[in-house]
Amino acid sequence: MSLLEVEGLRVRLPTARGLTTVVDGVDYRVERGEVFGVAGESGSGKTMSMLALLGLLPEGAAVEGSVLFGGRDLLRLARSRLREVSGRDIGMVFQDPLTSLHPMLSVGRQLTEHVRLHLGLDRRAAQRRATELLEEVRLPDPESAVRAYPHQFSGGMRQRIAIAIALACRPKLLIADEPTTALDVTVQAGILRLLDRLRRENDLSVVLITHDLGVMSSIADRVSIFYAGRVVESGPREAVLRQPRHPYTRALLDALPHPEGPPEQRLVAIAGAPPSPGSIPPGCAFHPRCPYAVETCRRDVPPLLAVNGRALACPVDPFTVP
Amino acid sequence: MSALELDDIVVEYDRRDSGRIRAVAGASISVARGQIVGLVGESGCGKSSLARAAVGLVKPAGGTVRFDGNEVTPLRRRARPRELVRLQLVFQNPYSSLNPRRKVGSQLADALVDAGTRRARAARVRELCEVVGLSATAAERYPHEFSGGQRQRIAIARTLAAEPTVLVLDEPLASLDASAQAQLANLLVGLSRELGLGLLLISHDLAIVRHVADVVSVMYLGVIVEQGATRRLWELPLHPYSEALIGAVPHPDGRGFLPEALPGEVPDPGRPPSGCRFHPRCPYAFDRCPREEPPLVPMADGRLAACWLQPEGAEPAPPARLATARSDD
Repeated sequence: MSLLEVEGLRVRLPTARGLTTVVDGVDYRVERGEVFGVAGESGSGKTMSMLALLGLLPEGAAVEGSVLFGGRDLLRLARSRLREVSGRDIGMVFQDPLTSLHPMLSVGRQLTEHVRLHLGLDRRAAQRRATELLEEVRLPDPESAVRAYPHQFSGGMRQRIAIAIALACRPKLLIADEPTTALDVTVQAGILRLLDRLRRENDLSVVLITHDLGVMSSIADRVSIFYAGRVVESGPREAVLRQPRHPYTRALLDALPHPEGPPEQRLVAIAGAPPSPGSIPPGCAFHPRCPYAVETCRRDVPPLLAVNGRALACPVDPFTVP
Repeated sequence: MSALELDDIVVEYDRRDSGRIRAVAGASISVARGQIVGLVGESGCGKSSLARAAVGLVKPAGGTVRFDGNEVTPLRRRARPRELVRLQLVFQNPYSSLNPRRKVGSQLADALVDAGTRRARAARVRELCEVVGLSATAAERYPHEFSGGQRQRIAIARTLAAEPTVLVLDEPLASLDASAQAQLANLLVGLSRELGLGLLLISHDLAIVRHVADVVSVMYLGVIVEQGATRRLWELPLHPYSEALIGAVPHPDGRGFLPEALPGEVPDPGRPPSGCRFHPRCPYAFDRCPREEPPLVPMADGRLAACWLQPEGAEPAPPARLATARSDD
């Protein structure tokens, strides 16, 4: 059984013009010890589909579908039960640790509060655990770091602290939402290596949400590509990124500079702009920007179908591998 | 002759608690017309300070900035002399550099150098929109009606209104989606080739700089550590820091390449390390590195490098090989 199984997830958010669909029928699963990459442009619904699991959507949001985590449907748990399960078994890391860390509380306090609440440790045991956690994320000098405040650390170190807090209760699943986007590449590499080690050593499952296919390519085992609230292609990392089958996946890769490709190769931008929630085109949402679109793309929403070990939502399938 | 010449620039700031810090500690860069020069480095290395000094937004504590032979003096209350208007700056964040309450067209018209008739100005504004790949009707709309990438193009159109010969761009591609980034990168290359613009492109994204820039300068803690043709620098980085920056770039090819992390952090510019500023993080550092600061010297292929492993005038070689050869001696 997979650690996390999401089926038919649909999220609608309240706006001035009524409920707007931001996640439109998404399926995926996350296995134990794997890094599952979720990629897409801003506004594609990748973050909302994760916040839905934790009951963190804004007031008035409507959620449908099922989210099985360790056999229980998170969407059907009472709020207090959900907080208990998600607080202990699911950790979350956000893009900007400056906003997710409390500026007025010491690092130690933020680490111990969590473990005392969820694991019932006494003060001394919690303090030991705090130092241990900071060692685990390779923060230099953990003994004095527990007494320091977030502003005394650099961006990369703050992200390590945020990861330590997320790991405090030994969660089974870590959701990392753009964890390296605000960091320099040299620091980003360190965080990616940290996540990779935690997954291997602690049998931790990681959902890595990112707009950066390079980041996803470094540590994800399986990937899903989101567009306008739906999954357009998913499968093993190597298959999807080396031989993309969906025109959108292909277009995203063509827009990127490839460090090993010829430098004179021109970057190919995708025509048009991604649609905003509330004005999603009918049929395949990508059709107005797709050079391969045919009549049916404008009319019918393509289902996500299994083809050769991957899932693809494109009836044209212009890049079929013979 | 280079259009923009920065010679041995020093930029210092006052810090409340610990006196003056040196954000740029003697850096030289030149940009010729039609040339794209990339300036890369981690955040806090002084690249934005150097950009601000280049256009006269901060007064350098040392060194000179010359633009078409005229000295660039710090901006004051009086209007810039006409010659200096041809040097323009594009900021990182187009959300804050455009006025949200005024139509795009009127903001572009402000920057036109030749007044002309009303009709001529309107025509020029429409033309500018088209040059940057927006429809001519964009002039009638407000900045909030555009995406981040389009707003950045509006910001570029506004600098083009001043008929510049050199643009300094401070992280123009950061915070854009991949597709918008590709569009803008292609636009910059086009502008440089077609209008003969010189571009000083400041970016932390090496992969994109490699696609766009003709030459690259690598900056670390206020000094330039390597400078040379982009292609050669990427194929064979001479400075260990350039090598580390390139090794940290992820590859979006699905092969699962795990980028190399650079240990440690950028030190406080208020207390730079002795000798070579990179030595505490350098995997090849030896006894000379903490003692003496290596000068930026030309190599046999014309590139410049500031590393004790790379002797002046020698054939370029990978730092790892030179370090091994040295320890074998």
